[in-house]
Amino acid sequence: MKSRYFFLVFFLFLIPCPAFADDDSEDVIEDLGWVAIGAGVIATVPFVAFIKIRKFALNSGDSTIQIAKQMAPSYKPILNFHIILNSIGYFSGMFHGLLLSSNLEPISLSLALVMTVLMISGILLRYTSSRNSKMFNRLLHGQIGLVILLIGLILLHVLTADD
Amino acid sequence: MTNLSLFLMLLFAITVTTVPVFADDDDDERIGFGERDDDEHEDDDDDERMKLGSGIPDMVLYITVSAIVGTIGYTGFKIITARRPKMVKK
Repeated sequence: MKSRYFFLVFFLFLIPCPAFADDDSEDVIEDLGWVAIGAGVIATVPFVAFIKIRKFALNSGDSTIQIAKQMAPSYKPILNFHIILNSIGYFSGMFHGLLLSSNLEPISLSLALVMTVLMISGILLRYTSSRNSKMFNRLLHGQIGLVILLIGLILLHVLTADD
Repeated sequence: MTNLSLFLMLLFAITVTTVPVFADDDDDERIGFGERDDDEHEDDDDDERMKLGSGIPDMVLYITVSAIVGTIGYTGFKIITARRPKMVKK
């Protein structure tokens, strides 16, 4: 069971590899950016949807509480999926930025900063045991303002990257 | 055990993403052939590109940094106020 899990994780980390299957180096680096965006969307949207549905089921009434209880065992695998895929997205995005660092502009730098803050708060939230640290990182990681800022910066970056 | 293996996998991901890029030898072929042309094109691009310290894009960076600092400060403030024992009114 455990070995199967590791194989799954191993193959997930190979996802960015097809980005290098192209000969043109500029296109390869650009593809790495799209890998980052795709991984981020795939990692975050199902996780947020799961949390919202579960919360809604818990708050709705007696009949839906059973559904929420049935959903509980799926939480950990979905959380792990969220962490792994977001890590892939983060590192793909960072390498995309590092390889194009000669073209550094303020929007890319802002995007890298927001990504790093969300990534660090997510890692600390998962891997620290202190109550204060957990509370702080839970609040920071779930700040809607930071999420809106991230989406806005991604859109700005995509629209202005070719200039 | 699980934490350690996850960090090892992250380390592995870094190696997977970097090695093939450095294995590309297209850049080496370009040395000595049309090097001057490339430099000239780069200069042209630099003029058009949004650089650090250039007006509106710079504002985006300042707004982002302020938003991050503000969010961290606000989160810290919320935790401090939540943990502080309430004053008992007489």
